Amino acid sequence: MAMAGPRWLLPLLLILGLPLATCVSERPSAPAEPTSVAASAPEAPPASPVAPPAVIPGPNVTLLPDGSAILGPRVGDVAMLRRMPDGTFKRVCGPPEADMRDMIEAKMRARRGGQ
Amino acid sequence: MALGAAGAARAATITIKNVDNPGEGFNDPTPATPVGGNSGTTIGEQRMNVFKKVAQLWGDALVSAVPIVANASFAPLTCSTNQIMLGQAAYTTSRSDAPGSPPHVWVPIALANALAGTDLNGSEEEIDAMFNGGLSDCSMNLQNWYYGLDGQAGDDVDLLAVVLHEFGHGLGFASVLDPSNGQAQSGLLDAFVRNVYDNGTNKAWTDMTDAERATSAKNARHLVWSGPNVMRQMPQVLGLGSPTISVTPAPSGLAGHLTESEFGPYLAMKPVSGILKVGKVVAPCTISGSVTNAIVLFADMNLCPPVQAAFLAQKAGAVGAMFEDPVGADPPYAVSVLPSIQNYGPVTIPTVSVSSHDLQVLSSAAGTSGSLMVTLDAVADQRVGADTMGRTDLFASNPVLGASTLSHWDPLARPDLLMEPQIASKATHDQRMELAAFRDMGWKTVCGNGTMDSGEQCDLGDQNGVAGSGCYADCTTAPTTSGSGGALGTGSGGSGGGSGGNPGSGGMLGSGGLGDASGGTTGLGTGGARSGGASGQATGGSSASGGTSGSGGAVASTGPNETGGDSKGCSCETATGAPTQGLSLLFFASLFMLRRRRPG
Repeated sequence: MAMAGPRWLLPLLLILGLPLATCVSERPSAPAEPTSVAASAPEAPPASPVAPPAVIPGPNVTLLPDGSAILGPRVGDVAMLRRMPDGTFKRVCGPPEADMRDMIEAKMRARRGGQ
Repeated sequence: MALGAAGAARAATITIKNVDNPGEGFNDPTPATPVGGNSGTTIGEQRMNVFKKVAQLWGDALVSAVPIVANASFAPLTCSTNQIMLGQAAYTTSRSDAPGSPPHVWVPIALANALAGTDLNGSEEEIDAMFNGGLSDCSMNLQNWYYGLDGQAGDDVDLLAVVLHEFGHGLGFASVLDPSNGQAQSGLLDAFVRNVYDNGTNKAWTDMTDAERATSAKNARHLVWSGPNVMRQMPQVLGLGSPTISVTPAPSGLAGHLTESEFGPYLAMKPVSGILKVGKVVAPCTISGSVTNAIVLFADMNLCPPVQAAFLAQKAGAVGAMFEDPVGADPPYAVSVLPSIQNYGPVTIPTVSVSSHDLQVLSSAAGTSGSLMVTLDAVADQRVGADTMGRTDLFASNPVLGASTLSHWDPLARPDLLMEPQIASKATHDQRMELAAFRDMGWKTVCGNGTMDSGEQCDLGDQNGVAGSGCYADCTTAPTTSGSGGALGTGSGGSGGGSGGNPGSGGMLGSGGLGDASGGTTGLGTGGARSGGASGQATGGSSASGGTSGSGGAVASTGPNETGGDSKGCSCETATGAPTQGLSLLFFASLFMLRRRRPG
């Protein structure tokens, strides 16, 4: 059955629709304006267009039979008083000096029974 | 989906596992006087009470059927000349591809357990925490812990705020990615990084190469959180009036990243222009040379506290002051001041910090041109600590500062946020932005009492049955009824401290004021003049008595609608019951201050 409607409609739709489709497909991944955001979190954040990588085995990674993996502990930043040149302290979260990092790691290892 | 719509959401149970030896840390038997709502009668007991309070605050706000256990210690730790550890907490492990988790993403174990609905790591703890019971000894008794639960730490270190911050990391507000090289951990990104976006390159971190991420980590003031929950929460937290600098003639290489100080009026209140003069402080604490009508640029503040230098400059006729941040990174941390001397003067000229790099650029240009005109102003409709799209700034820094870079908000944020890399002396207990970030990462959060009752538009908790609040079930408030955003504030009036105990949101230019309401509840009106302590004294000649009334002074005024923006709404404050504290801060340990010796 022939499509109803004037003959000029299809080209018009193509003209209007093509750039629209292009606009959508090329829209950057920046989020929408705050007023239009969803009320609740997505179950999973938007996926990268790049194929998701598989976990790469390493010294701090344990692969489990079910396909999941465990990433071991690491020392991050530390809340500290950082001495300023004038002798005063700044209260910051910052990277610990090597000695402090060693101390933290040693204590953490001890807590885990020396693992 | 509305959290409570399907019935009661189950708050998480967080348990503190004391791993200290007898007689030390949490087991320290030294008698102590109950303080600030902490009824403990020994130092050890008070410490544990603070940890239990933090466990309650986070636990009441997060949903998990799986108990969360935190290993914790508070024994004295060794300290070095340059660094005194306060404490740290981190998640013990991350999991990928566990049931309920998004695929191929590292998820902090407590969140992975919550998503799986089962204890994936068995008997192993989810958080590892270590705090320093030797703080007093390490700091030569200049700094002590405050064990009260009310945020009234004065010049001491608010343990509750620090533990709350660190447990924020332990629950997931931290990336496993190394920002110095941008490398994914064993090939995977993590739940935190999936919300990170560079608005300079317009690229999400998930779409970047390692090298691009490493570059982006240093792209100060361009790294933002793109998750929708933070975007919606942000306007209810951050104030308006993002600080800016313009220089004529424009010097080459100026980054122009400012951070407002903890004293003096905000630039939104009092924009200024003047010839730049490089300030010279001479012993004991005097400014040499004329600074009349100038904006003074200070470096090497080794002779007197910045608040004192700023006041001296003001008395000498300066219209503004800029300080080099001695940390040296871009963006600069805020110039801090001990609460006890915050109202020194008072300082009524605006003061900001600049990076060491910008200090060099400006100093050099001033020396070359001889007449560098500087304007310090504010973008009236931009939130302080967010970009023009409403995305909250993350801490990108140049140079990268270890794991602190990336895994914090930018120190620019006003009012200060819990997860900034700079710990406020009058530190915040407000978890709203972090809970919003957690929702973006996949956590479910509790608001109110976890149940959507009849007549509620959201889970109002102790305001059950109050209809028409306009609240969302994700603990944010609808803009139309939020009460946020006072009108352009002129003159007097308004409330510096929100009534009802919930944080008020930022008003329009000229509005706001960090006002602390009396009676144990605290309102946060952002964006305006600041007040300090229970007295609610604001700078700039205005004052807010008891945090319930603010009179507009020369620079401080409060918008009429600014009072407790969320006071009718369903804020997670309702759920946690945490008083929200205002001012951002960094502390200066005044060497000349006599302090009583107390156990750390």
